[in-house]
Amino acid sequence: MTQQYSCLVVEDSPMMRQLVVFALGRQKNLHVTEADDGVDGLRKLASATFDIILTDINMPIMDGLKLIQRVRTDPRHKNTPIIVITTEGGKQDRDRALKLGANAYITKPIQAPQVIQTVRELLNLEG
Amino acid sequence: MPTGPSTRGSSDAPPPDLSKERDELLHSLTKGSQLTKDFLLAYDELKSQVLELQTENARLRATLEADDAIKRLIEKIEVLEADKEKLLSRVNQVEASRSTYLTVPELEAELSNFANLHVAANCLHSTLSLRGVGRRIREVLEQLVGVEAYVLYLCTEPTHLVPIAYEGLAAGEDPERAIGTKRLLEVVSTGAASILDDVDPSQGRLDDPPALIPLSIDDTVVGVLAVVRSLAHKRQLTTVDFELFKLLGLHGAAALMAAGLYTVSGRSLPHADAFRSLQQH
Repeated sequence: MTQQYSCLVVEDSPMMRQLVVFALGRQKNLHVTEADDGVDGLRKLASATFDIILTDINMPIMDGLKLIQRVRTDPRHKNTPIIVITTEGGKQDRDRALKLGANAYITKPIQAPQVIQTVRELLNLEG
Repeated sequence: MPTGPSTRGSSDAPPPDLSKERDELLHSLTKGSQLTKDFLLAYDELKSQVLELQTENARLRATLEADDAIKRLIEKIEVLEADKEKLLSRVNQVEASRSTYLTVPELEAELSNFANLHVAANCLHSTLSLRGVGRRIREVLEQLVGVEAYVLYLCTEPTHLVPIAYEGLAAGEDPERAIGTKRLLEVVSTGAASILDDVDPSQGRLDDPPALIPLSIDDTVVGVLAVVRSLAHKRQLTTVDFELFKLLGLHGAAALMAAGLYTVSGRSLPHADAFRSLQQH
């Protein structure tokens, strides 16, 4: 039986969220859960375990950087791979996210092959 | 053969002369000896010939085996040559089809572009709030195209424009002042998009924006989207950007009008009676 993986997508823009979910849909054994912002993300992280997290940086209520900080202090998710979604111009945010413990980043406008490739690499999945 | 003294002594008959027999015997013996010598010589010669023949036979056998090996190798080479021909023909077919068919990465990119268009259209129509539609238009421009500055104009009269939303304009760039520009008025009057293909969109200006997209409903221009500047890293507009502009021109206009009507109606959805006339068409 194929191993199942779970993924949390934290993104305030419904459009971007749909695009990320569409991209992740290419990986058949990946179950995706969506969250509107950092707080919603933390709520979902508290009630379930995820194999990988994708998060935007600029979000209302709690941004992606704070979310990464919180995730890295949670013993259950301190080693969970995190991918940040940034703009091409958001180099500072990207660097900060990587410093805080994010594992990789993808830039907007996102391309489905790039998203799925990054997820596969971090989960050691075959293409 | 020499004869010794007779033992009988008293025989009356003279001893026979056996010299003839002796000579014949000697001759026979000499001849036999010679024959034996000849035979031995012939035997040695034959033995030598047999050895030579055996050597020759072994050599021929070896040659024959080598010839077989060569024959097998030649057959193998022929098979490999045939395989090579088949492979070359296949490569040529693939090469020829590459110009006709898309490769997997190209298909993946196309699929991704379609997803962008599909999601953008979905999002534009997922709200009946004017603010919501405005935000989604901004998201499509910022997140999918990579636009830094834009102005959204609506027509209040056939050729009179009003800026209803804008983002990212530099100090001194006044959306009201740009209304009278020739290109903008042409877009309103013709309903055709005006795009500057050969300019770097990241260096765009409000008075001469890289793209002016008409917002149309049923061939009537209801507004114009002015793409003023792209983000610094985006130096060129791509095919999918133009597709997104087209989509914004059609779906954006419909979404804005629907949201406007919904607001005007006091945010009340029409009763089912309003749709009865659909059956008559």
